[in-house]
Amino acid sequence: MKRGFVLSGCVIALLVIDPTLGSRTTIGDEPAASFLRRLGRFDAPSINSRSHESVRSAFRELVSSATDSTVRVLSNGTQVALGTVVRSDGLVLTKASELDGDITCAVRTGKRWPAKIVGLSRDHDLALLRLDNANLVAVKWAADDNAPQVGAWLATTGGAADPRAIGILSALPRRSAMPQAVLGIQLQATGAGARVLFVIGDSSASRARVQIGDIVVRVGATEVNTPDEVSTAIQSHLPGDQVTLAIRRNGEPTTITATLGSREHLGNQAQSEIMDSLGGPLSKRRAGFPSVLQHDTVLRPRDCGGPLVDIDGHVVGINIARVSRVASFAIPANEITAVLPELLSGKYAVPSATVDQVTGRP
Amino acid sequence: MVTSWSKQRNHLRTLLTYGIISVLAGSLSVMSARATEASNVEEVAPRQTVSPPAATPRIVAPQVSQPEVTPPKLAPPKVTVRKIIPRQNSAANIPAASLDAIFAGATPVSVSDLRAMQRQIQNVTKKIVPCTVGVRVGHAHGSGVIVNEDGYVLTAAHVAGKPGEQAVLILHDGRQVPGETLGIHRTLDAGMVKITAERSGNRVPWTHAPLGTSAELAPGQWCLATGHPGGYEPGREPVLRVGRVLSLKGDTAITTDCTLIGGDSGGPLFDVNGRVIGIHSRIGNPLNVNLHVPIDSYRDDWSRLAAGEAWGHTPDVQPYIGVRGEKDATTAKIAGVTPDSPAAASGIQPGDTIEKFNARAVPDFATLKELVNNQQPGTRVRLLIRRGDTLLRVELEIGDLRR
Repeated sequence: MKRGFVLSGCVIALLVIDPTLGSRTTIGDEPAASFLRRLGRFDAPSINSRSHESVRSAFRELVSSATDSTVRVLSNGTQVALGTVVRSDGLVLTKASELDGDITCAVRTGKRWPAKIVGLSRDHDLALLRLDNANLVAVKWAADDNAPQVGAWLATTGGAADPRAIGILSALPRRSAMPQAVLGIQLQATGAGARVLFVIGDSSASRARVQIGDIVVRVGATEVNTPDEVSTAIQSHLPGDQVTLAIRRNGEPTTITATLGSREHLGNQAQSEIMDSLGGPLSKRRAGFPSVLQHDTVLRPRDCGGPLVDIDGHVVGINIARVSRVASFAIPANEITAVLPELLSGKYAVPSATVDQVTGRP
Repeated sequence: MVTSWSKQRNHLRTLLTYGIISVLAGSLSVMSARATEASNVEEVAPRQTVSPPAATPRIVAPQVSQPEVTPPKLAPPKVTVRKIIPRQNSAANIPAASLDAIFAGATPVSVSDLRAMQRQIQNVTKKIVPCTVGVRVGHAHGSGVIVNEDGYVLTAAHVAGKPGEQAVLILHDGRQVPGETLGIHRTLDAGMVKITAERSGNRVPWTHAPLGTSAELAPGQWCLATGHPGGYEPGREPVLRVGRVLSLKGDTAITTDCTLIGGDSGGPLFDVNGRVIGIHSRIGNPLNVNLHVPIDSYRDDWSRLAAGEAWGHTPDVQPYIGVRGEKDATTAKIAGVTPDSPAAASGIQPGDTIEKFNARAVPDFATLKELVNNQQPGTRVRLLIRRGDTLLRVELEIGDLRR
């Protein structure tokens, strides 16, 4: 567990800072860190916090049916997501991009089934799993005209009687644009290939030490000859992806590995990273959905894929991503009931369920 | 090289403006860099919150005592926190608490409690969202709240930046109207902006939220936050969060678990009746460290803010000029000058008496201290100095003791 301590308000009182003089007083002989540690921790769970178990247990009765329709999804034995039972004979929807290796599903009783991916919607980042010989409880979707309004309670079910987490609807459904991956370079077409004209400060390229005059020869496995080909190759990735660039520098071949940034934060990558680092881990795939419900429930990435329940006990969506300190996204029920027949029909069937095809990435 | 210590520290107390995120290094609280609320709930047995130190010194001069404001009655902050419900379902054994008591901190125990809370939260949301605005000043993207029919908007000092700047205010429906920044109180991070557009030319009053009072807040009380996390996003109305007051630090900060992020700065915190009780200012790494400037400070400082005054200094700096006062002197007579300080550079000598500071009379050394403390380092000030029979004019730049 990491800890960082900084000056407390109380310590400021001990520091006699005279603004006119410019001298400092120290805090006796005790090292600041241990002095401050004695003052206590800020992150101890408070009985006054919104999501304290005493509040969550008030939701127990209304989530009980959806909890029965929630499974834990494990990859190689470790929980990576939750799943939502959509048909009692063993069909489960979950978050596609978290899946990897051997997939199993577990219910509250501890019973487990091996799962096979039988459908995939990359747009929604949803995978349809089949559990053979399972006998489960399918979710009850909220009716279309019962979509939640801003301020509605939303509970996320988990593996226990009380909801895993609770929150409220923060904003009405909207499209979440797919972020564009950028390297942060300007290129010039030359006879020798795509030549770097300019490197934007605090970008993926500047961090990877791309230099003006470099000729980009290959992006990942793709040969590139023109600036357009470089852009296309970069944009086939998502922000956060690592790509290897084959480069000719002063005639010498060299390779560079760059972690791609997003166009939205181009030139300001440090700022967006600080913001993303505040308040716990985020889902890898957290944007680019046709429609999302934004709610303020604090989820871990592995809490996504399960049902999101309203005050009437109806399932209004499936959690699809932990997005930021303030937001989690869910795919609304009407969007899921629309895509489900197509997933079931085999339209989005995965030809051979090899893992790499299931990353959910374009 | 950055050590892991300072890296962690730099993640704390992040100001929430989207465009100009700054990190306050020497910040004011003990915090753990540990994060998720979710894991806390799971792992640790419930215990009382450790309240932050109660006595927070005012670094700026205390305000001249204010006329009594009659605070609107809040739901009484009774200590009605009931026992944590045992694991087995015993809801039936617990007497029902009124909705007021629940919003003041009593635990909701049944679905009907939750339903009543939702009804109230949704009704209030319809009123508070239209008063919430996006605020753009230069590169800074923050939030704000309209608080009267003339279009006065409360925001954070670090969003407003400085008085007299052009601002763009984005209404809840996406319309943009011009505005101007007014006063800022840097120490508290309180700022004010005014909409300069006449609404449809006919002085139709601006949709606004009433001010509540922060003096009677109590831990456990429920609250609502709105703002534009990540900056204004077309097609997305101001974003709602619901949480509870966790701790109060005198008149300088309210801590809640309404989660905030860059872009929320300057946005409003409401009580469950839709009255503004705070303005979003900064966050620490843990999800339960979201800080809001208490609304009473805005009310106390209203005339200075509305007049476009800028005062105080940000918490990450310590303004100084580098002089020491003479013991027991009744004037601002200088006994010593710190080498390499702004005062030394300007030629101030021991024995000099400072008579005026930016045209304001300096009757004694305490006044001088206060005047210096109300400047942001980097600001140039003019001093009038008496040396023997001569009066000297001196100009110097306020220094920062932390640099």
